[in-house]
Amino acid sequence: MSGLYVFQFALRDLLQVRRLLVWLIVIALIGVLAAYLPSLAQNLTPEDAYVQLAGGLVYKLTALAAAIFTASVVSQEVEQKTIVYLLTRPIPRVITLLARTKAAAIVTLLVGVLALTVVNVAIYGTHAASNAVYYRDLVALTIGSFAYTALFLLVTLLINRSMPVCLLFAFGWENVIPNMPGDTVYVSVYGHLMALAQHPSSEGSAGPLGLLSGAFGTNLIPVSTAWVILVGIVVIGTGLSSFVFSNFEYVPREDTD
Amino acid sequence: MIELQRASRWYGQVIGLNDVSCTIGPGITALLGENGAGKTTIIKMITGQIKPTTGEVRVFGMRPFANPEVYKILGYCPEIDSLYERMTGRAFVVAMARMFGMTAERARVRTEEVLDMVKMSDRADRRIAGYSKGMRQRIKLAQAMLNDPKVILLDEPLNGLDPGGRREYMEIVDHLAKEGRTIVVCSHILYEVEQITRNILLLHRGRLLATGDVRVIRGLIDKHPHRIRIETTDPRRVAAHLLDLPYVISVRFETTGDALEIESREPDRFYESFPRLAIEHDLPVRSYSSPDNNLESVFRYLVSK
Repeated sequence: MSGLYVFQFALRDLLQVRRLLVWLIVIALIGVLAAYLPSLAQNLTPEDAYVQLAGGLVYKLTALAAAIFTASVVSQEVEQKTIVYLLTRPIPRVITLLARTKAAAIVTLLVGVLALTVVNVAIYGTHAASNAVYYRDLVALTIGSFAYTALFLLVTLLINRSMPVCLLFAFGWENVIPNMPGDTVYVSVYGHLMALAQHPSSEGSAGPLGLLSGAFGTNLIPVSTAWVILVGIVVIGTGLSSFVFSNFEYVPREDTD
Repeated sequence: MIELQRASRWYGQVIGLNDVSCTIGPGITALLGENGAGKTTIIKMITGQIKPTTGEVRVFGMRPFANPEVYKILGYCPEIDSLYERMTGRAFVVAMARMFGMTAERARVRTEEVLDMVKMSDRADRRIAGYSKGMRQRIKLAQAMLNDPKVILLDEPLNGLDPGGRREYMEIVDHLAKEGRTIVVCSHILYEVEQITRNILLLHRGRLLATGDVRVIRGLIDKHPHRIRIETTDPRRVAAHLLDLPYVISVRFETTGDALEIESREPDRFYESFPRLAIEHDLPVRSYSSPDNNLESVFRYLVSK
């Protein structure tokens, strides 16, 4: 029961309007871009626009959300010096960690799904429900939210002030690697998510959105392999994080005695 | 019962606690020491936030690090004032109660009980962000009492409390101790500690310097010449009257010409008689204080022995 309350406590904290406002503004801007992109770039079909905005912006937004929300699981509590109240309750540390991680992953997914839905509706309007790629994207974003959260969680537990590392991964690594030739795409989370989403190849993919959506590389990852790798990241990432959090010390720094 | 057996803790190259062994039983025990003495290190070890580098720490026979069984019987009031600022005091205490596994209804009832104990019921619906230091101390104490703990650890609990608040806080702590709980109070102010308990553990630079009755340690200090600085516009006239007192053993004039420093072997008698002397002879005394009436002088004295 305490674990459930820790989850609710973390979820309430993450769902504060103050925290979500920036995300809602960004999603609205993506929606505006989605509504006008087909008319701005004349050679883009609605399908191309959807693929480029979903692949280029929504997935990156999800990675960014994962980096920021995952920081709230432990490192933000350490920085705010409130971690002491969580660690001195009669709740196993693993339970505390998993409950808070679940809340971070769910809010990450919420941001991703909302952005994807806004893009889908802005582009297809009343026909949005018939876009088959949207449903594959929903599946990919779900596992992607948990995979990014698991990965970033481990980083935040191992490295002090881990945010720059997570952001570098989300925007640097995840943009560069899928655009490289050969099999390097295997070492990016985004490459595996694209394998699940199976976006159709897009016309006019040479622009910045094409670069963000990894259109310059070749992605031949089989769907089954992508599932194994992504589930593996979730399981191994949270498993290692649980071990680290249960055995390492997490105390606010500047304390004096 | 809390036991430390040859417990040491290193922070990289720096030693925070050096080979400390002690047993803390029911009643109030004060952990006394200057900043950096190792008080918070001991508290963090007992609360299982950190592990000893070498040695053992046990709370009722259990190792406390990340041990939920220990947290069931432990209440902890940390020194740091950081709380969940956006929450109200009441919501914070309820949240902490829920994390102790209480149902929503039980948490609500228990929260009212502990808020009442710390006299915060009427102010608990304000956001913590607007709380004074004293109110934060009370809310921290409230959350530490939620689980009716056998062991209560209070880290610098009187910081920021006004005199009335201090008296109330001490009464609460005294009441909790009389119920047979083990209470550890951390402080760096000897005067504060003396009002709560006689049983102290004196730490200095990570080492346990002395344990036992504070009056014995007080006695040791009083055997040592005690300095008192007096600010006055007429140091010579004041000195002439002071040298008549049998327990004043020396007088030294400061070069600024508006103060003198005396040494006394019986500071308590001096403090008792000096105000009367000043009034009787109309001595122009602005203020008087003792640079020795603090922990630093205790440490200096004990370390030099």
